[in-house]
Amino acid sequence: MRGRTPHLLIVEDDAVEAMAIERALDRQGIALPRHLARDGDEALAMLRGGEGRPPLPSPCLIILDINMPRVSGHAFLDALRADPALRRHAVIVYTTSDADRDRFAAWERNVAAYLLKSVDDVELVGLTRLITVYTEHVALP
Amino acid sequence: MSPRPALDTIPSIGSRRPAASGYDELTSDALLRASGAALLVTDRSGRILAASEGAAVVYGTTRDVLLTRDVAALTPGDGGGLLAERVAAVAAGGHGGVLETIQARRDGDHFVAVIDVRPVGLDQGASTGCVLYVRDETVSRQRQGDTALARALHRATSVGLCSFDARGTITHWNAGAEELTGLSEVEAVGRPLTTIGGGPTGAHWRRLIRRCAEGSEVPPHDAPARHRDGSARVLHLNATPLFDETGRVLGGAAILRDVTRSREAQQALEAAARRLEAHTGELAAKSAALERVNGELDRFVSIASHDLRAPLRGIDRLAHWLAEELGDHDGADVRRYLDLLRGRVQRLDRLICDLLTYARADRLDATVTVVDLSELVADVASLIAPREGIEVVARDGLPLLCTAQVPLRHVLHNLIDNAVKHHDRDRGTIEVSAADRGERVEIAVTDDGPGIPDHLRERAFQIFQTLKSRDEVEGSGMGLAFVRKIVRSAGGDIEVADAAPRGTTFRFTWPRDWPREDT
Repeated sequence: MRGRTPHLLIVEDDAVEAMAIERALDRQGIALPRHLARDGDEALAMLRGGEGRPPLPSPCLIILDINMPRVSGHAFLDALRADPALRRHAVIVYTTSDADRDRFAAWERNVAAYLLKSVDDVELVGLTRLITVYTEHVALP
Repeated sequence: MSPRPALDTIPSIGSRRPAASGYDELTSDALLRASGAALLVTDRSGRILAASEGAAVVYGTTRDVLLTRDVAALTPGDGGGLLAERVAAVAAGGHGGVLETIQARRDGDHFVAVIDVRPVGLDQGASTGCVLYVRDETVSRQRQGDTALARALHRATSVGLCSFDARGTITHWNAGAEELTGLSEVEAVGRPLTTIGGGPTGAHWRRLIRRCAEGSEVPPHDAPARHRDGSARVLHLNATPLFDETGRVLGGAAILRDVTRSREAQQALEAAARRLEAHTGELAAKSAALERVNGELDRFVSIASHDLRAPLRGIDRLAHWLAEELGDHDGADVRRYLDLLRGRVQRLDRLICDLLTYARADRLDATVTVVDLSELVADVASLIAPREGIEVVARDGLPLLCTAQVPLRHVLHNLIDNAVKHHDRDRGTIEVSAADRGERVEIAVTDDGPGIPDHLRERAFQIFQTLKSRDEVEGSGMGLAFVRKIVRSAGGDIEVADAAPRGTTFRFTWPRDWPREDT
């Protein structure tokens, strides 16, 4: 069972982290269309389109960092869930923060998963697996 | 009820009275009858020949009834003889005199009577009878008794009692008042009451006098006063106006009690309460400041954990990717440098982690449970998994503690881990023992490793101090600083000593009962 091919939106302020995710995706041969936003503000602008650019096609699988300059992951989630046009997108949080506060806030906004970044990149492997499962087995909206 | 004399049944004996013979006799008889004074005229034997209206009132009967009786019957019980004898004696030419006796009214009530017995009808040296002037003294005797009681109380009580006239001049002054004020009765009586107020406090006493003079009640209250020795006193006053029988204000009376000390104590108490309140305020301010600092620490910790570590992760990844890109190309040196680079990155990452742990050391999970120390030691040892040949031993008799398990576990983990990590021989034993220290237990972790030289012991507890280079033994140098911070925040302390024959003993005290949070 397979829905439409999702677009991947990586929201990550650290370029090396973003590269690490892309490298891992490449390694796993995951060839989904990819988009990169450096903070929540930019991610919302890309999802909504404007200034001559079309909005990102639905469905989107969003890989979201929490600690980012300007619009943090939490503020992004608030705006996403409050917007009827965007609220159905699936969000996987991928962060260094293991604080209860961050975790609970994320789950309260109906994220699809909450993954912790680890030094040895074990969870990066987990992240690519999860993306594979979502694209191959999950019926996305 | 006293037995009532049955005199009413005696028939009228008007014949006993001699017939009036002339104007004087008629007049005196009329005067006698009409007199308000209680007068009785008797013959020598005590028979009543005439009685005044006053006598009828005193005895609660009528003149006619009195005329049927004799004096002996006026006295209740066996006392009658005495009055009759006196009457007989006076009539027989003895001297008149005053007799005090109990008399009975017709309704049976008794009264204290003072009876003046005088001879009458002197006829050639002998009298024909007596005239008795009877006065009911009951009420005045009671009054005397009351007065005597009042005087006795006035003198005897240690409570200050005084009275004053409407102008405020002291009229009575007892020993209690003397003691309270230092003014003797002689000094006080005749002086104005305002004297004991003295100086500026006099206004209060003038007001008191005025209220009493107006006949107004004065509620109990405290008044400033000055003792004769000059010291300021506080007197508690119960004052009331005094009236005479017609309701005219005579002045006032007051009960005085010295409450200086209790008022002082009260004031001291109030001052202490105010100070306490101020301290509480200060404490609250400090607590708020502490909370702010803690909040800042929290923010620092979260910034440090993300912002300091994120670039490190980037460096690590880049080094890793470089090594991957290098692939099979011959670049042994480059590969070695990259390994060293990653080693440093990991060390810095660990330092940051440990620094965060240290910063949070006194705010570990303080959930109190029953902790079996020997189980905890076994648990920690299995986590550390010491290399072959190194053994962690829990000595027999380790106690059960009611304590926060998490901080204690951190302390034991660090101490045992240190001992294992720094052990310099193939075989070794690390032993945990405990000794009773009253409210605390003293827990000792002893190893048979290389020991710590004297001059390095204090440094061992300082933050980021390692006694070996980090390339020899991987460690941030935070362990012991962390341990000491936890132990001290639990109210204990830690010391290090040589073990025999070699090695080191760390001894720390730990509360048997974990201090409760008061918030």
